[in-house]
Amino acid sequence: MAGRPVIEIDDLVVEYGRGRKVTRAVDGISLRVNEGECVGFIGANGAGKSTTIKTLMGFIFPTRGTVRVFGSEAGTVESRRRIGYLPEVALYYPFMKARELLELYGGLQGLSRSELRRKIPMLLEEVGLAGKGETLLRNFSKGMQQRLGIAQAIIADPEALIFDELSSGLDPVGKFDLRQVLLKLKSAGRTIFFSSHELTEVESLCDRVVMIHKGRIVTEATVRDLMKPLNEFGVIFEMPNGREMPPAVAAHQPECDGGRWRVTIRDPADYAAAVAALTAAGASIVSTASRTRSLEDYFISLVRSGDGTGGRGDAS
Amino acid sequence: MRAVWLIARSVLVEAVRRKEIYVIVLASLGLIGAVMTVDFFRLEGLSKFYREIALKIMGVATALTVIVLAARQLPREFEARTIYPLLAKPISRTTFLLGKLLGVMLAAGFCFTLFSAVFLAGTLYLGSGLHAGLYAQYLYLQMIQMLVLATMAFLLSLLMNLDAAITLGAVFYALSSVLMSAVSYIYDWVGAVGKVVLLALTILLPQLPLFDLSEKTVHAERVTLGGEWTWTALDAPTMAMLTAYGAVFAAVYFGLSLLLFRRKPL
Amino acid sequence: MKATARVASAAALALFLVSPILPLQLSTQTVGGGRGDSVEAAEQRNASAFAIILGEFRTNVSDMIFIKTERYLDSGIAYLPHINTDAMAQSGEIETRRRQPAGHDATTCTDPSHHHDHDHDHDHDHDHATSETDHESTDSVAALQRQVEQGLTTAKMREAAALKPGETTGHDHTHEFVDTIIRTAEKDFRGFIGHLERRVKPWRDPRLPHRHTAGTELLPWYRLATMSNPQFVRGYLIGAWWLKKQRTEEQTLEALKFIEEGIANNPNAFQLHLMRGHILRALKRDAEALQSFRRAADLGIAQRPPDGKEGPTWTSYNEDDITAAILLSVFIERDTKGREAALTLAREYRSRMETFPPLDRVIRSLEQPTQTPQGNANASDSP
Repeated sequence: MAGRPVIEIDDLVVEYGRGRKVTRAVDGISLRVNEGECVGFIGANGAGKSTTIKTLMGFIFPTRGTVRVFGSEAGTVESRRRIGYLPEVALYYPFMKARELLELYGGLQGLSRSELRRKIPMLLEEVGLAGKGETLLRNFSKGMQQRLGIAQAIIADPEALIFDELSSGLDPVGKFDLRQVLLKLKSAGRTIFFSSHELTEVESLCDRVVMIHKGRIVTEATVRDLMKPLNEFGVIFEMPNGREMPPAVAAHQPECDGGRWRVTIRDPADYAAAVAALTAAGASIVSTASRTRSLEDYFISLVRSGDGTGGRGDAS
Repeated sequence: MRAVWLIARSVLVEAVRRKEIYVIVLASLGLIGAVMTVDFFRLEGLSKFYREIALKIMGVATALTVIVLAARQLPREFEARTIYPLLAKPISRTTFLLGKLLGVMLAAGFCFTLFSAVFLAGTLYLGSGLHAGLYAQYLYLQMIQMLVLATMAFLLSLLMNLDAAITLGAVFYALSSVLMSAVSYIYDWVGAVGKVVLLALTILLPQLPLFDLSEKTVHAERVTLGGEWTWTALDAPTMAMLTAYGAVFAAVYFGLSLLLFRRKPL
Repeated sequence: MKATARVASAAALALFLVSPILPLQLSTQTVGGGRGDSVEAAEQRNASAFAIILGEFRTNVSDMIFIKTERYLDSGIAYLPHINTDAMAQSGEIETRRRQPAGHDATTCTDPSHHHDHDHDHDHDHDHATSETDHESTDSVAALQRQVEQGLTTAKMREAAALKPGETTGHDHTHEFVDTIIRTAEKDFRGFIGHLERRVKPWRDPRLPHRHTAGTELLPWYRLATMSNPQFVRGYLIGAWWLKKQRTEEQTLEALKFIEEGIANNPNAFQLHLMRGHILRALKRDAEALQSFRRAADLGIAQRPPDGKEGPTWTSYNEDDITAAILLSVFIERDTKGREAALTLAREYRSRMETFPPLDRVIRSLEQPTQTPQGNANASDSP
């Protein structure tokens, strides 16, 4: 992958607790996100996503390993200078107005007063909060707070964006708006690293996906590579009496359902061979169908399988 | 410095916009006003009574405000998770804590400004004399005391939960004068080990009464009309010693707070 | 084991339940509602280590306010509270100053009577009526009359009487027998902290002379003290005296109102009736004043032990006050109705008491018409 590394994680281990009550939240992960990349970080609850991101921001400290952002050690002022960050649960000072909050965050990122005066109305409009600048945040809904969170993250036009749970709390319109913002940032060459439960977003936005399970990275691939083996072909057929099931079909464990057989085959070549074998065996093919499994299906199967391979085996 | 100021301003905005702060300030102002209009026995110009009550209210209300405000700064940030977007900005935790401290001190200054305006108006209304130098020194030393209390509250809030930190801070403030006289009094009654302990307590704990010049301010009056004052302003070396004394405790508490805060996983 | 535990629990519970009444059994005379009411009990309470350590937090609101008035009088300087000089004398710290020679002028700066106890109680100097010395002369009776007519029954009242109009503070005097709560440099183990405390807090070396302030500023505190504790007789007494001291008719009327409130709340406190009499005399309402003095005398005699000796319920202060009430009644009777009427009244009072040397002297002087004390008293506080 081209570009300088923005995020470099090497053999990161993060443990919580002391003595016998130590919990290992992140177990030796290594990861690299390069300039201009959009990387999705997915995993079940408790998989270690937020811990990894908090380590990136310097909120928690590695038990072992190194974490660098823009070449600086995570947590240093220098490492955060070019980052925009959206926390998992975005809550902001309820006693402040939206404008005041953005002035605070923009000011902390070094924007001048005149820049802030110019940018804040535009930014509020961009995240769908036009005209809400003078509203106290205690009167904001969760979705509005999340939009404001996005605004504060991008106020200084950062080179990299780190979002923890991207669209948490957003309604469908909010998700759509957010996607537009991110696509714009992506097309502007910004580096984006985010965790999300909305896997359709990951599919639609990301160049690369990193899956984490029980503190370990189980999958790291481009979206195209990841999706390739997720196709499925289904065949429903009837076998003539007394005929043996052809080996090309039997290998895929067909199931009998009221006299009809059903088989699901993932590899297109296997599918072609199975159909040919069935025809040769005089089987009557009732129907054929092809389906592409979503990342979500894969994610669910991965989590349920418990071993982190999702029954795919070959994906890592 | 701008980052410190921006964080401080947010603390001040919170202090001003939160209703409980208003309640403390308004109730105290009401009390001062009530004392101002006290008309026992149709006696006029009972300035000491007024000064005593007003300064006591001013000191206690501001101290409690500072303790509560300072103690809850960090726990509230952790609890409401508002600290994440803040510390994601290019500021150090030292800057963050300094900003919080400055904000609390600004809030204390805000309280004193309000109280002072009412107190001085009352003094003028009653036509009673006030030793301006002593009063200015009273305010200055109170601010030093608030600095010590605020840093102490920071430290307590990092060592224990919010309720415990506020309670302990307030109890220490309330009992500090008793503690000071108690140590002084029982010193002669204890054995050698006890004496060492009492001396250590005296040195290690901030002696808050040293920052309370209210008694002299209350009791300062002219011996004869236009004559000398019963009490005069403190000399510069004493003020410098008091400032240094407060600064040492504030620095120690702030340093320890910073040590804990910098290592604290969020 | 279980049975033993049950018995022990029951015993503990019973002990707990009766514990509130146990102190009452120990000393019914000195303990009322858990607190000793006598002056000695109050002194003991106030001079305890606990009291000194806790300062104004140690006791009820009226006591707390009372301590505050002391500090007001001393320009905010905190002296060790209520240390009884007798106790100090017994401990060898000072020589006893009780039973000092009679006749010294209350307004003299160097007057030993000003080495007072730092409370507002009556001075122990016994320079007048209750003195055991036996000065039988017309001069001594005249002196007696001056004393009782001034109503100067506390040291602080005496000092205030010395103030000239316009003066805000009293005269110089020393506190050589009373230490300050803040240690002197020689006795302080705290180094620079002690040094700073002496600078920041109102403090002067107790060996140096200093001034007492005017009592006007104390009045709101007496008002608050009596509001918080309507049985706080001393508060009414001294508050009314300071009000009367203002020397304006308006304030004297306020003093009358205040003392009458005190009498309504404490009808048997004969000292309040005595003070009411003084106030009425200041208002030139002598007939009513006489009624008050006589009421004070009647109540006081009923409360006084026959021999007039100090005890748990009778103090030298009470003795001073009953002396003033009786003698003033007799003197006013003499001045308004004549010597015979006064003698009759004096004998009637005397018959109700086992011993009462001051009255004996007055009776003797009344029995000798040529030696009648001169100079009718006025009600002024000025010496």
